[in-house]
Amino acid sequence: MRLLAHNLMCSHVRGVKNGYPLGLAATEVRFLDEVAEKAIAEQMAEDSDASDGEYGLPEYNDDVMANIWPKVVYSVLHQAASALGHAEGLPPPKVAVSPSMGVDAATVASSSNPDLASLTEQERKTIYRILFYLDVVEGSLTCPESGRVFPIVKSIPNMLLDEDEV
Amino acid sequence: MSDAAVAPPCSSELQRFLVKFADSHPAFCAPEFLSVAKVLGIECAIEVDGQPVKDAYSFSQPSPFIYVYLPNEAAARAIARRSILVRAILREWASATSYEELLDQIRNDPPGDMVDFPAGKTFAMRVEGYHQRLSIEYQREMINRIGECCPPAVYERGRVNLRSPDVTWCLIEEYISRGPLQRVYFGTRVAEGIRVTDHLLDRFRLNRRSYLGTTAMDPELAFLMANMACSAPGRVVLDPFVGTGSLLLSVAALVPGVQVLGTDIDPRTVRGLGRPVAGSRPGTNALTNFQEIGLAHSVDLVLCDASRSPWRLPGFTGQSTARLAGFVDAIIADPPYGVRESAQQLTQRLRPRSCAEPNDERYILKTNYPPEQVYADLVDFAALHLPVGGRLVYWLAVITEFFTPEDVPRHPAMNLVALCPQSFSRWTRFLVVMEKTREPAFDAGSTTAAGGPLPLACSLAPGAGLAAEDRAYVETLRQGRETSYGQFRTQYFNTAKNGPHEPVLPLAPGEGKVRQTRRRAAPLPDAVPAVAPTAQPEEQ
Repeated sequence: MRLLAHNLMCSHVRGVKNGYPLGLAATEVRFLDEVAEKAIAEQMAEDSDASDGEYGLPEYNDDVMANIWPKVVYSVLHQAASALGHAEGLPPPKVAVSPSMGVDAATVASSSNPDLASLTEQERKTIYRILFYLDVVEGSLTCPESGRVFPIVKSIPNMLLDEDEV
Repeated sequence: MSDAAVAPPCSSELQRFLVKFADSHPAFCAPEFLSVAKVLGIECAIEVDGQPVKDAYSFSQPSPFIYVYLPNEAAARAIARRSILVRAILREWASATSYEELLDQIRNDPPGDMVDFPAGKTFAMRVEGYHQRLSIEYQREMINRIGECCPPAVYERGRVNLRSPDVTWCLIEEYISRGPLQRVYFGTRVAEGIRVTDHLLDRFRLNRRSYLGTTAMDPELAFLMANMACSAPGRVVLDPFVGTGSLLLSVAALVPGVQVLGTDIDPRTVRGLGRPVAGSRPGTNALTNFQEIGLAHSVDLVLCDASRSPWRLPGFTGQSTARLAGFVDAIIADPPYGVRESAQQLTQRLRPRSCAEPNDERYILKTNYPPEQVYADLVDFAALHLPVGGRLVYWLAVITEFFTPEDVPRHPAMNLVALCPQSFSRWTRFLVVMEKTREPAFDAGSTTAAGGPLPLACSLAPGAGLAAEDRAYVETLRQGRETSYGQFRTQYFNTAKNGPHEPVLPLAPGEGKVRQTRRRAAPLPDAVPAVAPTAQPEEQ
């Protein structure tokens, strides 16, 4: 699960009113650009004639960033990256989010995102990498209100509810 | 079709081009072309009865040659880079039902790019037959016939280069099922489609994938859906019935930078824990196919019930009045029809949580999810999550003889853009394209069942919080009205397999309405393609 998905999900347990953001914990994370780099290197080693794949390495793209930025709640992204120990290089959010509890709507409203134009290119690239490439392989998501834990196994979170939760 | 030599006047400064489409899905050509033009921000019209029509989403014809209007050649090239059905786009100089007529046209009004052919440039001439193989000798003869009518400038100043010519002229003969010559077109090739230049369909053949399921979508149709949904870099495309991820794989591959999200209720399909499908490598899952083509950074898969999903809802949050932006730009889906894949949702019946499946997936009690409900929830979900102008693209499977246009699920905030049939012998599936026209009307101070403002996630009862008129409309959808897709499974096994002459069995004990007596074939209204579903030609 990438941090983009974490940013877009909230607790859907019945009766929970403020289930955003989900608490994030991880025992294994990886960067997908590094995974892709390794895969291409292996392919080249195996077959010297192989071109470097049809897609090549993922790259930073300004259009993608501009389109995705209004959808992302930056304070929540920053908090999630901090929880995984990868907040280095990220610009500070306007409003800090406490990791243990849900946030109030003023904080999550995406208008609180810093203006993209005010960020340096390096900051934009760091945000981009954290948002799209940082992948939680094994870990869990926790509902801030009910404490329900959703496991993440092999990069896929299990958000299936039990019968008494729907 | 009117005589193509007389170009009809166009409302604005658009230029007329001839598009040669693949003949695999005639009903999809116009809507896909218009959708691609829309997502690329290109003004576009399609020629219908000799007139350019801007929103000709329902236009369909058996011939794969369609005239379109575009601002310039750059626009044509951009569309050819995205459209999956375009084979080539040409600037037409002449077209006629016979060679004599065609050659007369070329003689009397020589092609503009031949008259002042620049010195030192290279050219090539191609001859193609549609539904007819043309021998090399025949092709050479035709090239010579054209050459005799060409302005001399071409030969005086230009050189032939068959490998990478600066200009390519195409002569295309159109036949119908190897019958007599229908029409012959002559024009300059402006662009070739991505399916030709990139061998897209071959590269994404299902048997090249490491992880396969029984209901993987044909790649061509999945690419079509990506375009119909107006996918673009940085936009978010959601598939609530992701299965093995075949729809999203095509979206991510066609549109670099698009973000795809998929959910499914069945851990076995997504994680690859079930019985392996022939062709699947062991140890693979729905993410493997993305990793293998280097697109793992574009996708997220989540296990959840499509009707109880954890996606944060656009709108008012928590206790405050601040508005949270929506994030889903398009929704594409191939909902389970109940034939190969059963439709299920979670129920509220209690069961001990300790009932754990192997591999740490909780045992989930599911109940049948009637198709009416699936489609009503899907359209409802789209109305809540999409931005205005966002698209919902999904398949609707029906038994052909029971289908009426009223069966297409509707929503007051969603507009039907296109309805493209793909026919099989006894059943048809329609690709339904809907566009959100407005925000659903919420009652002022509407509350959820638990009280308080709308929650972040879509955990509210479907249709809750809608204003009275919208709610009434949505509830009509859910009242179990008999539809041609609601009983698709029963009908499929009764009718589709046994043939039309077998009596249709009652649906189930206690609801033994025989639908044949109630339904009559109704003509499609103007809003939907005016084509009778025809049998699909073999894929080329």
